[in-house]
Amino acid sequence: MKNIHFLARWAAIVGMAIALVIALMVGASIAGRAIWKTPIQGDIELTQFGIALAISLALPWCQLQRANIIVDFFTQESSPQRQRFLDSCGAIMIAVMYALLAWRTSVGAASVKEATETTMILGLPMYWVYLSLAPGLVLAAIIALWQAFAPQKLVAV
Amino acid sequence: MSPTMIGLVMFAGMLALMAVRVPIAAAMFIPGAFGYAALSNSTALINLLKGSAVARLTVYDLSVIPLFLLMGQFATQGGLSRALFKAASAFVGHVRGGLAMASILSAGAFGAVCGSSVATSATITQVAYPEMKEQGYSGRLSTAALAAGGTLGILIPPSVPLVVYAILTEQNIAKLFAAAMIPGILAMLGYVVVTWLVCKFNPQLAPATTPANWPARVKALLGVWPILLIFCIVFGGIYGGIFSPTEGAAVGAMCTLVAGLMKRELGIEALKTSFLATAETTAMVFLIFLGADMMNAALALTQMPAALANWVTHLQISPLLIVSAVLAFYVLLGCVMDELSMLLLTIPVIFPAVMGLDLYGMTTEMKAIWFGILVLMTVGIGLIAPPVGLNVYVVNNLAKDVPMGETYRGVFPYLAWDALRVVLLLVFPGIALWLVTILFK
Repeated sequence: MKNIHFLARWAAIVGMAIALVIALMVGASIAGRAIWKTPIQGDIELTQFGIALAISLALPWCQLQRANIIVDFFTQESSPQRQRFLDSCGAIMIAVMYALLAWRTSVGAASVKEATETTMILGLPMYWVYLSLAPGLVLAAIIALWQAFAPQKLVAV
Repeated sequence: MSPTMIGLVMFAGMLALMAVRVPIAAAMFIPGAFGYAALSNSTALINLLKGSAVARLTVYDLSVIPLFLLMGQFATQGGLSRALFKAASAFVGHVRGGLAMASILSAGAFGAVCGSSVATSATITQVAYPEMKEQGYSGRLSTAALAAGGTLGILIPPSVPLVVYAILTEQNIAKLFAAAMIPGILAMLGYVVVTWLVCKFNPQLAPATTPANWPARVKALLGVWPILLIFCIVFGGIYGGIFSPTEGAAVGAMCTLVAGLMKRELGIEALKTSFLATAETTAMVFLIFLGADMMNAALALTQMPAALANWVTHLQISPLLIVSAVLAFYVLLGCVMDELSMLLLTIPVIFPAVMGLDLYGMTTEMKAIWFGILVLMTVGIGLIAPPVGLNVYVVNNLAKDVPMGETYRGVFPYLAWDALRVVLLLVFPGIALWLVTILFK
């Protein structure tokens, strides 16, 4: 369990560090454009893909922290056991969502690879983008399942 | 089953799941997926899902969200909020209720570098609440002012909900930000006036203190130049046509990082904390997006949004009344739902209907911008109104000695100003649109 916590935490930190690197890259590109009239080639593509990767890496941490929004208005009066049971059901559903997206995105990667799709400006293979999103989704699915079946053991530190 | 029937079942399923604590993203995604499969077939569903994560996460205009959140976190961890509160309280702190006013003003100023109301509330509470408590301010006034002040985080640009609205309705983010500026400042000044009035009628809520001297004021004011500079760079750049909002957010995050480093408040640990907090909110926002995408794809197949729009435009009721009814509906919805889920769920359905109305003879774009600001303000009401005001929760969680009921009681006068402001904007769209027409001639 400790390992999963460690993984989720570092995935989030690395993800946001990537976002920061993207921000620096954008800054450099603007400076290049303003001063030497030469922006960084494909800066928009890099932003899109870098930020997408960053978001996917943030998903496990958010799940681990149970930070996904729920409506607790109608169940405030329910007993703690009942709330825990409902939360486990909720965790299974969100695990299904992550898993479906992870599976289909990976299949998507295979089909764009077959079609040898590349990005417009930099010509990067498009399946990289698809594949890069899978690890975050998979890890988030595992965490959600864990929360569903062993809720006591998985206390966020 | 007819498509409309499937649509209704889907909607009912979603509401039922939400009511039993299923995370909102999954509560939209799962019925949406079933509905989509029922309306077309399962092959179409799994084909759609192949690209849906990539399609949503790589939207360039949405990249502003993590970047603006990162900027807000750097500002939080970098101690910029403390400098703001110090400066504001040096000027107005001695007035009765002045520290409450100072927390509103600093929340407003902090909102100019932070796009989330929760982050704004939490940050300002941490620096302002202990100070107010020490000076003998009542818990009711101090927590209420902080909760209300926090809503300025989304009203004053940058604003995450406004970015979401812009994406959903395909509007220009920069124009929406411009439109939110004057209403945001009005909100802030109004909150200050409300605080003053409350303290005038109920002086025991807050003691008067001695004014700070001028050298202290000047010194405190010097502490806020980084925020001012960052705001000018980001929005000057966006409105000066130098860069796009996404680039502005990147530059803002960079500058805030530098400001925090220069103040020597952003060490490795603080950096990690800001990364983790940003990750949490970013993932939360995008997960709701993914859920709503599924639901909206299925809803589009039912043709219900188009049918609703058609029905509404043929109603023999004054268009303004319809808009008012929509806003009233948002207030109700805000009682149980958070602002982002509300927007993602309702805007694709309601927006086309509102755009079909003739409102003051405005162009579609102006109507879209005006309606966006109206919705944003209304959503802000839900943040502090009972029974579940998110900001009230956040502030109360940090000010544990104040009972929740006290905060809600204190929030009431601020809510009255919120409601009045929505009505004002409803009657005078120019409050929002004037700056847009000036900046984008």
